Amino acid sequence: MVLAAAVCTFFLTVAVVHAVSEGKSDREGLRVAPDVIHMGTFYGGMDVTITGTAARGDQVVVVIRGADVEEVLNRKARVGPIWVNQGKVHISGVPSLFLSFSSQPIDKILGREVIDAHQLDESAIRKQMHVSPEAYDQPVIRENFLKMKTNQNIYEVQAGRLEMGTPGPAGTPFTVAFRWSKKAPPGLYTVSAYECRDGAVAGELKATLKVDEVGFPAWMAHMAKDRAALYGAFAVIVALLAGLGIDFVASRLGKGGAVAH
Amino acid sequence: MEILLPVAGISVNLFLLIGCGILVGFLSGMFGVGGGFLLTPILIMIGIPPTVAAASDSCQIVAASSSGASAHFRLGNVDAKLGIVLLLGGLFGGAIGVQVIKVLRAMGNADLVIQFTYVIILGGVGGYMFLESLQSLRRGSAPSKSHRPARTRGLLNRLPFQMEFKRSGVTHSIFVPFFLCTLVGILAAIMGVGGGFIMVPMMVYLLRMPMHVAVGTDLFQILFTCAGVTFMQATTNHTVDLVLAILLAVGSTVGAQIGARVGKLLRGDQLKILLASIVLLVMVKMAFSLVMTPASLLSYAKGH
Repeated sequence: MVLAAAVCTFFLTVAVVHAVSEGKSDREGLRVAPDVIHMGTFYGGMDVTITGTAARGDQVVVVIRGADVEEVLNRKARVGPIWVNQGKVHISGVPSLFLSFSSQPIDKILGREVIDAHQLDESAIRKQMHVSPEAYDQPVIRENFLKMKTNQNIYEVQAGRLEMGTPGPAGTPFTVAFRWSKKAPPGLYTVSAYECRDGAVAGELKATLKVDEVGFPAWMAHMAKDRAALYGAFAVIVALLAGLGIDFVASRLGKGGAVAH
Repeated sequence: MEILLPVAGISVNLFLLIGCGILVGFLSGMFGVGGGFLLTPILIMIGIPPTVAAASDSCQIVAASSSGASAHFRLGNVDAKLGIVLLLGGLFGGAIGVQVIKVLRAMGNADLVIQFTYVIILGGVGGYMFLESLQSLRRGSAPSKSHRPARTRGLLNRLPFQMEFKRSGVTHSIFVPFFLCTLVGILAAIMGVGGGFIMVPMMVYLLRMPMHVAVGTDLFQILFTCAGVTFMQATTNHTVDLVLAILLAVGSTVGAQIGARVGKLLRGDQLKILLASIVLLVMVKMAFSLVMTPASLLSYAKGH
């Protein structure tokens, strides 16, 4: 009976401690502000701040990922002295957007295997991407794909951009503030903060960032997709009227003496 | 000032788009070229997805060419009768060209053929036009009305269905413009462009039309071609961004008006030498891009 009481007390204690620690994690979890970005007519990107608290002494890597996509690209090859598009390359298993911010260079706080396992940098993406046909020069294709995405600011790795605050009783607060690219398409993005300790990931906090079109742009996008014939006819008529309207205005101005016929 | 493009899904500077439209519209109004061969690459450069850039470009050409054609119509530069024949020939040739592309793609060397066709056609048309206009400018007078050898002229005159095109001041068998435009339509489909920069020189040199009427008539037929392409792109690929097209159109229609008036101030041979220079510049750029090592071995698939 005493033994049973002792076992119950032990498990109860463990459960309470676990619940308290979970509660602490929830209470001081990852915060994304704003966590929803509305793309209205005059949308031009948005300042986003991600904050959280890591255990004392931990370093942090924050990664924002879009859903995995498949891209079909032209591949250039040399035929004699000439560069021409020769065949299509299918690249899959790559995120539509990848932003990585860390308090220190990632390879200084985590081992390569850990970085690859959690896909925390471009090198990890290079390894995880699938390129077909396989007969193509795989390393060259992978390198060129990453270079192309980096040039478009769709993929970005910034070491030292994430700021660690003064450690307190609850842990060390961290913050990263950045400009959300106006070129990032609508979608649901995953925000992950990895707490790094002794070359390994000790904990992970997750949040989401939703980007969606609202108002007139959303209505237009809906029309273009779901009422294509009506939208197509509307587009032609509007373009035609715009052209004739501007010509009418220009001809009136011309008669006013601005431009001779 | 940024504006969100609903179908492209990205924000772009409003004035940058209007500025691009003005530049391309100016060329359109001045030379009768649609400007697709210039505008689509510019839009891709500023971050618009290639498929949206190509489709929305067609939509803005509807606005620019309607504005330009309307201005030319008032100036008496549109031969509607000949324009309809050219349009039918162009559509027929375009249908053949699409099939040619299909065969070339199946053979795996379509892109090589397309790029070589570009360089050869642009080089040939631009070079001939440039030299001819230069000689004309040196002589200080317009070129003679017809250089066609008497024997060829006799042969063409014996063809059936001779028709007078009063506005252009020429008489041809209906088969001549139809056949020539079929060839241009095939080339335009292979090259993936509207074909204005081939069509205008062809009208001037082969159909012997006055330059200004050739420009106005070309804009007239481009209007119908691009209206069809816009509708098909919207219903098939859902890639027409009307906001993008309207902003470009605002710029290009204004540019087209200016272009049409500046074009009227210039002599035909001056217009020709300017167009020839632009065509040659594009050709040189393409020739360089064929031999220079590209910055990236990958590019977005634009498709035809």
